[in-house]
Amino acid sequence: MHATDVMTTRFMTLKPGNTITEAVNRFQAASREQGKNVFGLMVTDDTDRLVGMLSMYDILLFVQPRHADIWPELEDEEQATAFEALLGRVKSIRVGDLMTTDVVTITPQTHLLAIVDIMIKRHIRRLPVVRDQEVVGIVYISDLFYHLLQQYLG
Amino acid sequence: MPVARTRSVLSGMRVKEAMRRQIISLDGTTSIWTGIGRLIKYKADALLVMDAEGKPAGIVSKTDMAAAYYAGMPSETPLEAVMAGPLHTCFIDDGLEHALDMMSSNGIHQLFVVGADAGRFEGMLNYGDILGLVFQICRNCRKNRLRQSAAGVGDYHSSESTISEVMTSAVLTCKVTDDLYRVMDSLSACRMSAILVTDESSRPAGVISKTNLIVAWHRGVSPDAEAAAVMSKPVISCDRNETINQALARMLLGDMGRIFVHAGDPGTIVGVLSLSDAANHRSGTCRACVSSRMVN
Repeated sequence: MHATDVMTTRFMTLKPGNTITEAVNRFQAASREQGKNVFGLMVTDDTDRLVGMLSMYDILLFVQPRHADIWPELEDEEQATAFEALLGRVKSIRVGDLMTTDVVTITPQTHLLAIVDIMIKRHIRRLPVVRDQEVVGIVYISDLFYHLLQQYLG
Repeated sequence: MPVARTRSVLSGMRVKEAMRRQIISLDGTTSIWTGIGRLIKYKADALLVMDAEGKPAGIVSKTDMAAAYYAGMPSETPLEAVMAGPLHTCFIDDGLEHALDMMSSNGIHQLFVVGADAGRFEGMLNYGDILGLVFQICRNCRKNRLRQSAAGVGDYHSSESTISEVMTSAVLTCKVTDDLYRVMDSLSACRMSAILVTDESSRPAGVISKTNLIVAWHRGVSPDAEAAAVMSKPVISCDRNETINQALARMLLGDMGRIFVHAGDPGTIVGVLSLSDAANHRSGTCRACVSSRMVN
């Protein structure tokens, strides 16, 4: 019952210098490759060391207007024009500007129940698996969920 | 003899109606680099710094961070080394006009909001929050220009206050080839939050705000770099004859702290309108509101 039992070893990553447009495309490509929605990707440097994580939430947080409460009062056309202008600002932002750098990681030998514990207590849905500073996989909460409940509940 | 009292669209309104609950706080030992990341992600203007006991200890604004960048401090420096104090606070039930006066007289851009428990902050208030409320009030006002024209009543556009009445005419500029030290020198000397970057023909090429400066620091850009490397473009500007409300809408919806002003030709900038200029005008859209200031 270790991380190796459930971790995905084929994964896509981002670089800190990627634009947010590139990141969005990467999310889509990763979702297609994994056959499920991928909500977060690992960010690695030029030597493939993990330097952060970027989630859809991080991007949405940045895209959300500061004065979101006044938007519902606008006409649809006004909203469309204003949102397009707002997204123009996103073009100058890079993955490294928005990524979370305080990343919790596990090793291939971390016990599955310890992983459950981390995910529950830290509200984390995906955990990078790192061995000797090298990223070797990622554990998604959905894979862990089905592995534990389908295998052991029968 | 009766004494004239002034009223504005904000009269009678309380801090709690405009403030935002979200406060971005970090431990004082956290690095400036991490702090900048939070400011970028949450589009915040300042961080609340907590001491070892989890109590508010000071504030770090983008201005403080830009000053540390200029001074050549490493981005790993802890926030507590650059934080400022004391913290300026207002009460949740204070009038918005009082809060605005406090910000204006202290030359600050945000206040922390205290409720019944003096040791706990309920939220923050800045110029944008106040103007967001003004915008909503004016949009719903029965004298609103859009409502009036829809009802076929008069030309209310001509009765509205225009940008030229409120804007600042002095525009701070630098060249695309100037280095960031020079940019920061100019911003600091004039206590401005952004500078217009012009090309070799003196036409607007971009804008550098304090956000651009801290993003540059976060990315490891040297202050020796040219302005062109970090500026935002294009320069967003509006005509000086447009109404304040039109400019306000563009600033609030676009999350901009200021908008540049031209006199018909966007290639020649003649002024700048900031959120603080608009907030201190204390009226939303029109002279109907301005005239209602005088009562008794």
